[in-house]
Amino acid sequence: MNTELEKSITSLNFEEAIAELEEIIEKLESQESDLTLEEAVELYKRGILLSQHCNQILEKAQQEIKILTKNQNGELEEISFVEE
Amino acid sequence: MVMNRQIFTIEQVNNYVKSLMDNDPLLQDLWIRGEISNFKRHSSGHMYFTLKDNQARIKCVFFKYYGESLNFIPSDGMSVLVRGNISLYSKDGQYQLYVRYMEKDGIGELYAAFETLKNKLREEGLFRQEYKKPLPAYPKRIAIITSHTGAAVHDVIKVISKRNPTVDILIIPVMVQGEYAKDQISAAINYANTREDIDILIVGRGGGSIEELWAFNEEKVARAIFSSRIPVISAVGHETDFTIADLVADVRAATPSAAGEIAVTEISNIYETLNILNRRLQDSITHKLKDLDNYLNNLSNSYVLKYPERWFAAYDQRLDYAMEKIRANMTNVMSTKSDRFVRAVSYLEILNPLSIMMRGFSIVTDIEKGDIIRSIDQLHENMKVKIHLTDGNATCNITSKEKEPANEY
Repeated sequence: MNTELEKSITSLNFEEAIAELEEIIEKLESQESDLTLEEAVELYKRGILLSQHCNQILEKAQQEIKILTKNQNGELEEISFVEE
Repeated sequence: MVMNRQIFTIEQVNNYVKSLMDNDPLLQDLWIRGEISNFKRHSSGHMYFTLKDNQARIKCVFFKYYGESLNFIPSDGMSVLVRGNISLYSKDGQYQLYVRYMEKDGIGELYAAFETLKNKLREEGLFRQEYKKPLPAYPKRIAIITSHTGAAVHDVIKVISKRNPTVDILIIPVMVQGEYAKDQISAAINYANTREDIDILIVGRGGGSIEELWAFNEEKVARAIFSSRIPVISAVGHETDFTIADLVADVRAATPSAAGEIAVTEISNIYETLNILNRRLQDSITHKLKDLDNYLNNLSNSYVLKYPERWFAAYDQRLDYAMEKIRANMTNVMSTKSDRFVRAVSYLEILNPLSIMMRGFSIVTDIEKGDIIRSIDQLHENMKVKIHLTDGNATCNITSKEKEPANEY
């Protein structure tokens, strides 16, 4: 449980983070689960961090619109796309 | 010269020829192949042109109400198949083809090729539902494989940016029609699959004629889509007809704009989803804590912990009860036996002749015979009898006897 919590949340992308958040909620909501109090609290803490991380991803994201081109040396290059 | 001539007007002649043509069944419905020249579209919407081949030419008219079914703009030099009837325009004395339908030459072959490829790929299983990959719910980067100048790229960017301005877009420009289109489109799909940062591929173009869309009916493109690890949305702007690319793609969008809508969830919905998840997280931990609290309460309120002596009392009571029962049983057995004994003893008492004699009775026996004397008739005078008493006996002589009068009862 601890190693899982220590796993860096900031390295997760949105899809991974929201998937893990859903998983945690299902564990906490489950009637059958025999979580100890400590385990439940640890899961909850991680859930909060994941949820914050998801919000941050959305708020900080700057949209990139790029087009793939070849430069003078014939190498692929991504440059900002400006509509003609 | 015999003057027996019948003179016709030009109109009469033309009308006569026209009636011959109009009554000929073959001329009512025929297909002609040729190349368009001198094409003119009149302001009325009617189209006039000449159809020619190496040997000959024929004038054609394509009236507006038939021309509305056209899915391309005819122009000089175009090879076409036309269908119509032949009649005479009497004003000019010219016969012409009245066109009712026109298609580009070779379209028939294209359709046949399309059907053949479709059947082949279907048999191979390329269209099967089990191979369709689900789209990721929250793509971070979407690649668009299309012409960078067309309306399609503009439409997709507009829709995606409006719905979710956090999703990155990478345009991989390709030719979407012409000789090199199939190679460029398939190469772009393969290239995208070498990258790890692309979540969805949108492959398509705006609407067009069947030849313009043809690259999306090519086997090479179909196979590139099928082998793509990244989910592919096909977006060929043609609402009614399916291309092969549409059939192979994981998801088919009717237009490039629709592809943008399918690929990207609106950001307000994503925030809403996050809010709901947050609420559920709070509720779940609250519930969990409440459950644990209740559990503890239940434990500390449990009978055993609260009244341990009562737990023993029950056993105590059972023990008492058992002892009681044993005791009662024993007493019962004892008293029944002792009652019987007492009763037996008292019977014996009653039967003991000695005890009767104690009350003053005595027994008289015949000395000679030893019989107990029960009646006066057993006695006679000078007879010797013995009187038995509890504490001894005596021998007596009967001196007289007197019989009681007979008992009247």
